Amino acid sequence: MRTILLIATKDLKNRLRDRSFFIMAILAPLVLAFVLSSVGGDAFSEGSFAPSYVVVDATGELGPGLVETLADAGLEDVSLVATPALGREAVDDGTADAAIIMDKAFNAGLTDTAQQLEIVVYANPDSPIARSVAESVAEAIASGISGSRLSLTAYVAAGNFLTSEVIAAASAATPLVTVDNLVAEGRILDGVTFLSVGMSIFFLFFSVQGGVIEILEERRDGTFARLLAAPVSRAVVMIGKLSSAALTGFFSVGVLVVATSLLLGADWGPVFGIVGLAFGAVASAMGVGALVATFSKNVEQAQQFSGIVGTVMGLLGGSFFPVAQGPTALRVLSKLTPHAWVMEGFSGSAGLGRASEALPAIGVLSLIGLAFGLVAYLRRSRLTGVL
Amino acid sequence: MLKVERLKKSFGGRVAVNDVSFHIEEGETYGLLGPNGAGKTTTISMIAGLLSADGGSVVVGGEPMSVGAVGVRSLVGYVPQEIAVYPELTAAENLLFFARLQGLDRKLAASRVSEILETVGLRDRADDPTKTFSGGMQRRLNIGVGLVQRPKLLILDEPTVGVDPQSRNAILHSVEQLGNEGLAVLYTTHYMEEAERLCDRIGVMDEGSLIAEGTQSELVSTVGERDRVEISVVSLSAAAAAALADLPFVESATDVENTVEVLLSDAGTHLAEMLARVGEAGSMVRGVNIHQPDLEAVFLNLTGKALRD
Repeated sequence: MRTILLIATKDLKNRLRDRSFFIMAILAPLVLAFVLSSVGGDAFSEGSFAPSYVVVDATGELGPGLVETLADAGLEDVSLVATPALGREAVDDGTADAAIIMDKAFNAGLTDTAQQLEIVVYANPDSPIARSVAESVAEAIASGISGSRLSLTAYVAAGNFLTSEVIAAASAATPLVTVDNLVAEGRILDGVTFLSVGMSIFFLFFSVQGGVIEILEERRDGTFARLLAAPVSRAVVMIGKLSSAALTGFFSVGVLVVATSLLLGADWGPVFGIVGLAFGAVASAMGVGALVATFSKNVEQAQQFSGIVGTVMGLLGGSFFPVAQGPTALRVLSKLTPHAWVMEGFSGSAGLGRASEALPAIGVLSLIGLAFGLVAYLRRSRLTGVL
Repeated sequence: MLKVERLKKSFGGRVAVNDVSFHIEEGETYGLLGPNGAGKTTTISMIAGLLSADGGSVVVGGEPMSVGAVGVRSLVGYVPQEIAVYPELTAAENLLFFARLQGLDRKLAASRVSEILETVGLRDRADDPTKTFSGGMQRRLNIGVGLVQRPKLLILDEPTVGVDPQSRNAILHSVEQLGNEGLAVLYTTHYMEEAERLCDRIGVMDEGSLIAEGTQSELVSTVGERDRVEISVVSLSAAAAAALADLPFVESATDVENTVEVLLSDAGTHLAEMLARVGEAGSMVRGVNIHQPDLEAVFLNLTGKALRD
């Protein structure tokens, strides 16, 4: 353990004195996040890509109030139409991403407490956030109506007659939709946080991969042979080297979380979520980096390969824009990248304010790191050389 | 201190080291002399435990050395051909790191760092990053790192490659001192003059094999009392070499890049006749050097080619 720490701290010291590390791991993501958020941070908000909703209310009793509530909840583009056909047409022609349909039967059921009510959500399959928000709205309405109907049932049972004023009063007593529900179920990051997370993971990949590629550099420079010639086992040397790559990753994330929070006002969410996702991100970056290095003939080639892999994964994985609102093919492809899982993890953790929401992403990231790392381990002689 | 027996290594179908055996006593400096690609670095990589051997054995200080051996490595100081230090760290930090890696405790390591800085003449630059050092200073530090744990055997792999004459002299002087202090030194080089100056015994390697071994005088005696004459020609060196080879007093004449290397006895007596023969062959003489028997001649005699090939 002493030797592992010795190697890891030496590497960390060596890297921290290297200006290019600071540029790549700290300065570049910070400056990019700052610049992009300054020139139009809201444009990068996942919320800004959850565009249009249409509320269908055939009778007009609940519709206007619901549109107002949704607007208050932060959904800017919400409109009201009178028939289910118009609602479906709006989704089909792309005018809206989701329709919340309350038809005549639904409205009639409001006064008939024995009747089963049905709210239909009709959504564009390529707009998962819109669908998710619309479903949560429908659930909230259903929940609110259940409460109202209990009151109305008691009212009728007492020998009274239902009037529209009574129904409206019952509905108002239990809010149909709350702001918290909508934001939470949408798992939306604000623009600054989105950019801070996106830029951090994008450059984290390069800095961690750089740490792994450093093994090739040490091979070239002769210091790796010197490490192997020391009275320590090869496994200890390798663990020490990889630990330093991980440490640089954690250092980079730590600095960026603090800096973007203080300077840009980013909200990274609960600490445990940050730590878990940083662990997953570093693990996956190390796995991918190690595998890339085993396919490289020399340092220069490894740097080129890792640059290409990191950039493609970053773009596909949504470091620069929310892929959740992109076409289905892009969303499927993005799931193959660690970047997408980091973004999704932070959307859940920071968006909902619950670290547990990041667990699936942390699991997938760890698995990616493990799988890539395992293949790299099998090809380790390509990394450590014949020496 | 070091015993190498029948060491073998192949890469694919290519034999890099073939049945190499030699030994080094305490306080002895042993030179492995040979051209680039002769198998010197592969041999010392196996001795340092960096590379597994296909056959044979290496014993250092009575303990077998292998890729998996750990304890015996502290007996060996390894100085690779490259300048294997960390450029962002200072000289003292580099030495301290490798001292700690060798298992020295903090206090002992600090003491050794101080000693080594003195030995390699870098005390006044101890706290400067090594990337600011000249090539010669980096080479000296490179050797210092190999000495930091007080090894019993020091392996130096061509430590003067790319070094200016002044630093080269300083390095050679340091190695001479180490031999005098009782350290066993294994020194690889393709510079004949370094081997002649430093080494008590020399092993000559070519194409993976140890083709001769002994003290300098023993090796020189194998070529007899012959002189080596280098005749530089403007052109037609092959024709000149062939013409010279026909002379009865010439033992061998080899064409090496517009220079004909001739082995013979009493070169001074026959020089005029040789130059005339070169002219008859249609070649024009540019210069002549006469060498008394040395390791270059030994190598030429053993392999039929020059050491620098």
